[in-house]
Amino acid sequence: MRYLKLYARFIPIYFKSKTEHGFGFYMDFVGFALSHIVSYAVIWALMSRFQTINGWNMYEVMIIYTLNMLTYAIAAVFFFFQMNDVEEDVHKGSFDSLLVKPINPFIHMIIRSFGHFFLGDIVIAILMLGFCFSRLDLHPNLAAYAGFVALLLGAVLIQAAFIVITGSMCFWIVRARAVMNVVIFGIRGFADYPISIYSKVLRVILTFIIPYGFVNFYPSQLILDKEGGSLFVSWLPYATPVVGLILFFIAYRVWNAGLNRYQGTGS
Amino acid sequence: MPLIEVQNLRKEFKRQKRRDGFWPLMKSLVYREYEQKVAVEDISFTIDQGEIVGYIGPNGAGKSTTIKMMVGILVPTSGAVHVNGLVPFENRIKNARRIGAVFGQKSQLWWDTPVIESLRLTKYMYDIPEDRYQQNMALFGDILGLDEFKNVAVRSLSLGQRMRADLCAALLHDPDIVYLDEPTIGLDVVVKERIREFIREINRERGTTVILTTHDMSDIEKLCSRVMVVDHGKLMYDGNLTTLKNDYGNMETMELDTEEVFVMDDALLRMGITSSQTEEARTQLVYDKKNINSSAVIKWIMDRYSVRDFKVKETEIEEIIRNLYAGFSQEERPRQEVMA
Repeated sequence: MRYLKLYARFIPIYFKSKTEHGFGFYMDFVGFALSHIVSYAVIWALMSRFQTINGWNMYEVMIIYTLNMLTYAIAAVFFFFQMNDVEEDVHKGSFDSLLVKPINPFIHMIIRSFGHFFLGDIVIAILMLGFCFSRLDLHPNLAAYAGFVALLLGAVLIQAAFIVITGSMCFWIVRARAVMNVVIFGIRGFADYPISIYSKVLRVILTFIIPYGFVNFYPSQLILDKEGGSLFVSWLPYATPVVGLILFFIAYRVWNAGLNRYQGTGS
Repeated sequence: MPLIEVQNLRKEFKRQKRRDGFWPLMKSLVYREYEQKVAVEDISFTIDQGEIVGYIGPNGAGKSTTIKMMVGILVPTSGAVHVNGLVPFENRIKNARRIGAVFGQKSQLWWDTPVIESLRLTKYMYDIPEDRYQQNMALFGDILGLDEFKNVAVRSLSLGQRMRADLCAALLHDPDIVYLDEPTIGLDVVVKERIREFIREINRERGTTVILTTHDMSDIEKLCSRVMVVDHGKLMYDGNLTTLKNDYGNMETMELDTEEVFVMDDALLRMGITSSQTEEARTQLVYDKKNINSSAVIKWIMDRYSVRDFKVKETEIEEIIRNLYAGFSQEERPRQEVMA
């Protein structure tokens, strides 16, 4: 509760300092979002040629893509620049200042900055979801919406966990951003399409090892009522919130291990 | 019970050996060699409430490492630190509420925000009551002269302004102890004086314990009742400034201008002059003032030469510290004065 109150103090000041840059601030939203238009165009070009891939039609593939983008953007608002800042602090030696404040450094890291860049993504994603739902003639009821939100939260936690885990590498490796880019942008890219189209090995990896499948593929099976296409066991689509919680817990442990290393306990 | 208790504190760092050349580099990718570096070795001391302690030593002597362990940023390899009865690294957040810290050139304020907003965030972060905040702002703002730049973003401040803002932020929550790592580095004389005045004022008014590292000996002279000198991770001296001066600052230099050409004489050497240097009409004689006094020297010389001018210089504090550092390499055992 105290942290929420602090957050409410921090964010207006953050925005005030950013909006001082004027025009550039608004361009941040637009610029980031434009790249997604290209991606949608690729899906459109691909799908208008093949009609369906692996039983998923164009709007369904777009939903898969959009869910990946939406959940990543939400997670990134709270973690992306924040973890970047941490890396820079560790590199420059200014990370100490987080350790002399009477706040859990993890919370401090989150609240001291805000990824407004990603707000544009969120807006586009929500518009695209609405568009795809209407094209597919989906009319979820209230209970379905509640379930959808639970799945989304799980997916956001998964995305956040990966940002935190890869970012925490800076406590061990000097320039960790390379690691971060490979994992986040490389492997996450696989989840832009239904993972059922990939080879068995890749499916296992994306389900059990680096479980990006839970970000969009398994939730989509539920939302889009994709029976028969289930991978491994049939209840996996329900597992997203649990996977999210577990993964985020692991991420927090990794962060703490990183902090311990920084403080020189060597654990 | 002392406020800060440090016992047999030790900190080692594992550092990867760096190699030059292509093959050694390739090899280091597979097999890494580490070397142990001892940054702090068996340091013990206690600090009481209300002291202003100067913690000095050459670069890399282990000053910052010790302070980081006292703050709770670093975990000791062995030994113990207790601050207010707490082990800092185990109770880092609790400890943080009661201390303030300023780390030299790294600001802890929010880079893009105006100073006043940064200070207000500090208020919320430490849950400082509004009336206390206003009171402190009035007092600190006055001594530090914050008004002239409080609406300026931190990134646009000059070094001196930034340091003043950082000091204010570090003390807003009335900490029991404030750690200042080179608070006057790179600042002009006027700002330095202002900062010293502030530190003195806080110490006097609030009884705040101050621990500061510095390379500026006038900081020590003007602020510190007690000096601790570290070198190579060991505590070499711990005591008050006067004793330090008496023990290490006993050399005097006499400078004289003579009509005749000065020639060094055995009689002077027997009196205790340790070295002499003559350049045209000017001569410098160095001696230990414990062995002879300057009047005996000048009398001997005036009997033989016509002296146009002379002056006697005491060892400056810089010189004392230099002697001290130089002495460490020969003298193994640290000199330690028992604190009452």
